[in-house]
Amino acid sequence: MATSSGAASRRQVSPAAGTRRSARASIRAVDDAYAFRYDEIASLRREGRKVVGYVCNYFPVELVHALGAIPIRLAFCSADAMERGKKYVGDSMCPFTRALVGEVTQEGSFTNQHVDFLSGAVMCQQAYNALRVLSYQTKKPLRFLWLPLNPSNDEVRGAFLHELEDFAAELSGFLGRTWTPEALKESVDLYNGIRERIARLYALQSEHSQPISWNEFNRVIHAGPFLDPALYRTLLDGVIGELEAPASTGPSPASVNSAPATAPRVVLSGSIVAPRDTTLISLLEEAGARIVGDDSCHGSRTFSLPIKSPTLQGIADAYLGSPPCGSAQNPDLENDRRLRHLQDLTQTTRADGVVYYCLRFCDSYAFKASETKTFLEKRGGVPVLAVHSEYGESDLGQVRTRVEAFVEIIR
Amino acid sequence: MSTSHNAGVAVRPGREVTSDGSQPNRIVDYQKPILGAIQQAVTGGWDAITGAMEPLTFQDDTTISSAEVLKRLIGCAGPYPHAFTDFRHDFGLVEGLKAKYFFLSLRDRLFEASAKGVPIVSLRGLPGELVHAGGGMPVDIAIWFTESWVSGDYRFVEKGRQLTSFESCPGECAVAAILEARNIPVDLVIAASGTVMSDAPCAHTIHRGGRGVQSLFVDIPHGLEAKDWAVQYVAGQFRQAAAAVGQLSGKIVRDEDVWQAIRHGNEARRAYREFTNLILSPAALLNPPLASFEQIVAVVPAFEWLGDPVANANLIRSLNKEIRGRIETGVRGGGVAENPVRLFVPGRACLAPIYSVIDDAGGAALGFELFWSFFAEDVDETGDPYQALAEWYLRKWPYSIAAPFEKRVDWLAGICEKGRIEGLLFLNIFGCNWDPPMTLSVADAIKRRLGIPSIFLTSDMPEKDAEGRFKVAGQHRTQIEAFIEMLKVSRRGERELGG
Repeated sequence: MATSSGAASRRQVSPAAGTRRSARASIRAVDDAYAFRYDEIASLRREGRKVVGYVCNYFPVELVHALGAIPIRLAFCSADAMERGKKYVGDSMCPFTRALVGEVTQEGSFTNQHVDFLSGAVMCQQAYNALRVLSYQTKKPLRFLWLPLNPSNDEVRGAFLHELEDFAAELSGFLGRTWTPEALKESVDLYNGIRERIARLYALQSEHSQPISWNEFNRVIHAGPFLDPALYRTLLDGVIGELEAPASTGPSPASVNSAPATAPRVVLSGSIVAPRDTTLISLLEEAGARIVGDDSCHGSRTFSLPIKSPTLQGIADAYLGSPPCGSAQNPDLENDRRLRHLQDLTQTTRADGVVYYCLRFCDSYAFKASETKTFLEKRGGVPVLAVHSEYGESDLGQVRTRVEAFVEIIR
Repeated sequence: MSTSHNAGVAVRPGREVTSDGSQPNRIVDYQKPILGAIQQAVTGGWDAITGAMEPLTFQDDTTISSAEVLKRLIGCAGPYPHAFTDFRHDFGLVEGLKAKYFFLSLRDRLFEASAKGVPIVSLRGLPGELVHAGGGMPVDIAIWFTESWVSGDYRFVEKGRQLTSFESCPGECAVAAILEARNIPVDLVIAASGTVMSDAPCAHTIHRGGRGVQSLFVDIPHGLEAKDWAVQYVAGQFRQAAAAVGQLSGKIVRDEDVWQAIRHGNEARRAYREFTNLILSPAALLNPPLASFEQIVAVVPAFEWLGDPVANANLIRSLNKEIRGRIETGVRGGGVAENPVRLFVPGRACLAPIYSVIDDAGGAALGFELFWSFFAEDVDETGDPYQALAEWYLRKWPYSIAAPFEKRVDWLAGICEKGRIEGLLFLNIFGCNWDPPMTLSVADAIKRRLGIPSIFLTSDMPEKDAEGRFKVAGQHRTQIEAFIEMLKVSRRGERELGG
């Protein structure tokens, strides 16, 4: 979601690297729908619809949708918002949570005006505290959805189902609506359809001889949690259709920043890559790398959870079974699902290297950087570059040098 | 007219570092100044001190005499010389000497217990009863205090940051490094996961893959008034945690074992609550019986009982007697001003040299949320013991991350009213994800409710001077002095207005 302060505050390297008008009509349609959505949501609210602003990818949007509310994901990376957030949470929070607080507390911002209810299935302490601060400062009601952080077993599943039932009941109470099994099935089918299409897009991006730039790709992926899901599903069909079409029938799918198919293949891992967080991606592509996958919580992890049964149990199982965040714990290194998932990802995408993005003060990923590097290098022979950074361009030169050196090594 | 017992002293032992010399007839040179300072502080010298101090009885029924406590305390100057040189002590507080011994002997006691086959468990942010019930000895964050803060040795922090992140809280990473280096003989880590303190469990994952100590994580549902299912879920994990400790000690953990541990913990909690009632009594507010530094030394053990709730309770009961005597006779703690500006420290609090700056500026730190909240309420002694512990953890501990924000503020506001607190002093630690994000909101809530202002200081490990001694950063000194001065002016203004 764009910030209140507009494109000027967005994080960029090359001019308009993340916001350039696409050569693809289908992607322009996504951009247009995104731009139109602000007014649409405002209009829907005037008609009585409620907006649930949430953080983290483990939040069951199906449930909110089935209750007739509008779920929108709160994720920002504006340096201005980050600075404003410091006023409320200090400067030792990660840039993402600082920007989150700075944006939603900003009077006149879209989220400050139009979010009715705050929530999130948060896994790290920083997101947890950010929501508590937001609720206190904006007086918006808040209800967390607790998600277990330990490896799943019967007790964990049972506890999470209890929590999901309580959450659904309390959300129903707030919205003044109840959900029906039919409505839930419709929502689950809708979001499952979206996930299938995003999975297809990821596969295309990894295999296509002329992929689009990852920042452009991310614009499509990141639009989902803001757009109307039915419209988004249709828009994704358009994007897939256009990307699957033979290159001779239209303009080259490759954008200015995209790398040739023979470029070193890189998987992006680590902390959240929020919408418009384009710097690292641009630096990688400018250095000649081709991004072929990610395990970002705002990227591929948002669709790695097909819901098999349109029930609360089905939703609980799907979210518990999806690839975990770095905040999740597992004392058993061999069975750590996050590492396994990342290893599988590097194999299926035939990655030459992994760039592990650590936002400053993101302990959940920073603490595990060394272990992740050792794990992947020993088992898959895949080199890993850990990049520590924050929003704004204060460390641009430093990050560029490291990225260029890494791409040179894996080339 | 009240009197200050003494000005408080920081002694200068020699530079020699040895762990020998725990017997009074073998006092080595570097220990003499410490002994001298202690003897000088109490009229009648050694005999008067040992006569005034009660012996200390531990959980295993062993007792050490006051003379032995004193000998061992002086012996601690070997491994922990900075404990004596860099902090201002009120050596006239006889039971305070015992508190210092209890604190500084933690590492030795861990080794002694381990040698006897007692499993040592690094218990991160969870109730110690779980480990005691399983026949083990818990240790939490205090080992960072002794091995880094007090020892002045920052190598564990540096190593910890290499293992985790250069932006890590110095405490969490140091504990992880201490464990990896086997600086203490830990057999198992049991850490609260969930959002209780997400950096702590993440730090302990560095031990995976055979690098160090086996870990077990207890998942804590957060952010809601705990439902019954949440209590049962946590209780089930508590049962598994106690059983895991029992496996190490070769003990089948019975409910009665847990009840006994709970009773011991509650005795310590009650002793501490008596302590806070004394500290917040009207006479004590006018003439605080403890200096700010002695305040924190007294309550630091409360977070984890420093491995022994029975000894901890006995210690505090003895201290309470001495404090009561001081209050009755109007004796203030060493270095504390009469009718000082009353401060409370919410959130994290460290063993910082900053406390003597507070006293010097005419203030007094009367209490500490982290530690005081831990004994705010007893664990219920009926029903299922694991559920009772889980209920306490989720519903009664006001500082628990599981507790709603409003509950924390309510409790804090109650303390502020009772203690007629004039200012809140937030001492944030660099890299900490637990407190700093919430401090501004907590401060705002208290300001709106009670009109009490706050000041915020953030620091990493303390700075050191050219001789390697801790010092208070100039900016922090200035901030504290200005804050207390502002509160004094405010007082004068109220008087002039007839308030």
